[in-house]
Amino acid sequence: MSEGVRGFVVPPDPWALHDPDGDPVDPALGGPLRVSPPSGSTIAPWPAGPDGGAPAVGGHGIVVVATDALLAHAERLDALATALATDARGVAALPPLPGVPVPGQHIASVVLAVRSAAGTAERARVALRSAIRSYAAAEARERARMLQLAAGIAVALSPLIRALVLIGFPAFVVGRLAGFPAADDVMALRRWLIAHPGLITNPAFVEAVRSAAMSIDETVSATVFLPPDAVAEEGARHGFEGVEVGAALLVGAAAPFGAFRDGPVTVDRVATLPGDRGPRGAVERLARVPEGDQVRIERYQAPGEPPRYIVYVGPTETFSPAPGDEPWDLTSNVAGVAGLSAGSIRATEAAMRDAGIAASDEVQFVGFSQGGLVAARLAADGAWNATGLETYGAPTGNIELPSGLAGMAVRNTDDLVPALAGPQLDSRLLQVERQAFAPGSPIPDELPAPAHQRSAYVATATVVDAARSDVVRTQIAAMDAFTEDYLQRDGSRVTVMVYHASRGAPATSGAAIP
Amino acid sequence: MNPDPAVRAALQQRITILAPVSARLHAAHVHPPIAPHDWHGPAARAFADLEAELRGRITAADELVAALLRESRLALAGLEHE
Repeated sequence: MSEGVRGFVVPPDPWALHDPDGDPVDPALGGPLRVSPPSGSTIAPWPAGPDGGAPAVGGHGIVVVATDALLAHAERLDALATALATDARGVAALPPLPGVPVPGQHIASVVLAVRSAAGTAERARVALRSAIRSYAAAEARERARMLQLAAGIAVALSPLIRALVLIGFPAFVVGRLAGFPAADDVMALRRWLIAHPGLITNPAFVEAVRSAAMSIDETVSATVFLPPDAVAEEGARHGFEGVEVGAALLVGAAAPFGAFRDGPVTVDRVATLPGDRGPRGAVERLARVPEGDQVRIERYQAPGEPPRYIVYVGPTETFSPAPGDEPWDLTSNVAGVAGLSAGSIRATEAAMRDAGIAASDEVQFVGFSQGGLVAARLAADGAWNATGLETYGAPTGNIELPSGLAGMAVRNTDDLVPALAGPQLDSRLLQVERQAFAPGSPIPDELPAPAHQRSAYVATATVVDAARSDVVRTQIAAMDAFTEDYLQRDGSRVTVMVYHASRGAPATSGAAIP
Repeated sequence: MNPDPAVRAALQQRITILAPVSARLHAAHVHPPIAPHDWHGPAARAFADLEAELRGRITAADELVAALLRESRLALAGLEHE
């Protein structure tokens, strides 16, 4: 039994995934920070699109290009090459000394030496950028090969899948009528996953999940004797792209069995508190993402200025496919990935309206897991004036974001949840990733999906805060400046509002949000 | 020595130009660019060779610029004692 945030005792949920009070994860257990700069930045390996934003990256998505340390080195070489080139020009323009030779020195040799150093620095600068682009291209080719292979496997396995559906469907119906899966069955699966943490906490497994998520449409096409692209083309006619097609199919297929059925949500403001200062750095931002109560909104006011807001959105509370009164559930996850109206998205928007956020007010969104999905969907929605977005472990790769957002998408490469949205298609936001448990590091065996736990992302956020490259530091500073700008002024004020959402009709007063 | 003010001004200008150049080169010499240790493979090895060459050129330029700066300062000091 555990103590709920609002003071009542809640039973253990066999479908729960996160433990906000999990043991800390040592950042030293993980790998180096790897970075994919936003398109349009000077070191991005892909050119900006025609509007200065994302280029067309195709269905295979972008890849992470280099470690933070290598990018920091590239930035240092850039600065060194530029400075030496300026110095070489300055030395070449040294004034002559009429009639007074400087003893023992030939200026020409000095000029030659500085020019030579500048030229070599320029060659090194170009070589390093070229290497970074080559690595990115090689990873992109590998990613494309993996996805093509997954699509081929889906088609090849279609007779087997067809047979499983024909045999398995009646068995599933009988099983459901008999009460399967019962809570004990789910707990058994949970215990097995916990006992084998290395299986799903593995970048290869995560890539397989990503490929499978992208191949659902091909699998369905082949299973029902259609050409491989038929389902994707039909999905596109209904406004679904890429992994959205598979997620929408899942919602449609599960509906007859009572799964993934959304319903109206109600939202209550459970606390209004004074705040003192804004978050500084990734660790502090992630620490403010709520758990239990799902939405936290901070309002920053400065005299004579319109208010600014930070909206923090919590993670999935239950992974049960059967919708209950918790809107932060698997139903909202799947609907959110599909681009459908999800209860958690509607609830967050209701909380934003209650907090007084107007369409023109500047908003930063911060979210973890499903909270990141909600945050990205709202940042991409033109209804709000999003200026920043920071997500952790969120399945958001298929969401096209607007240009000019500060912040970053952070994910652990051994966390399968972000892979459920397929490859990373958006390149407008800085992408940062890291293996939470490097090869040879002990993987915790207290909870399923250790690399998706908040504690694993706190470790990664710690490494993000220690990043050396300007590419990362610039985004941290931009997120921090959003509130510091206001709080440095006399008369500034911070208000914190906390919200709890439920699915279903309101118990007391107020209207449910359909 | 020639006490010509034009020579004194030229020496001062040299020192003004050379001092920051020398400081930058010396800083790059003391903290040379070295690629991260977690970068491996043929490209990393080729780049390491290029950076070794760069470090050598920075060291050479640092020594020559520092010497020219030192001698320019001595020459200027000599003029001012006349």
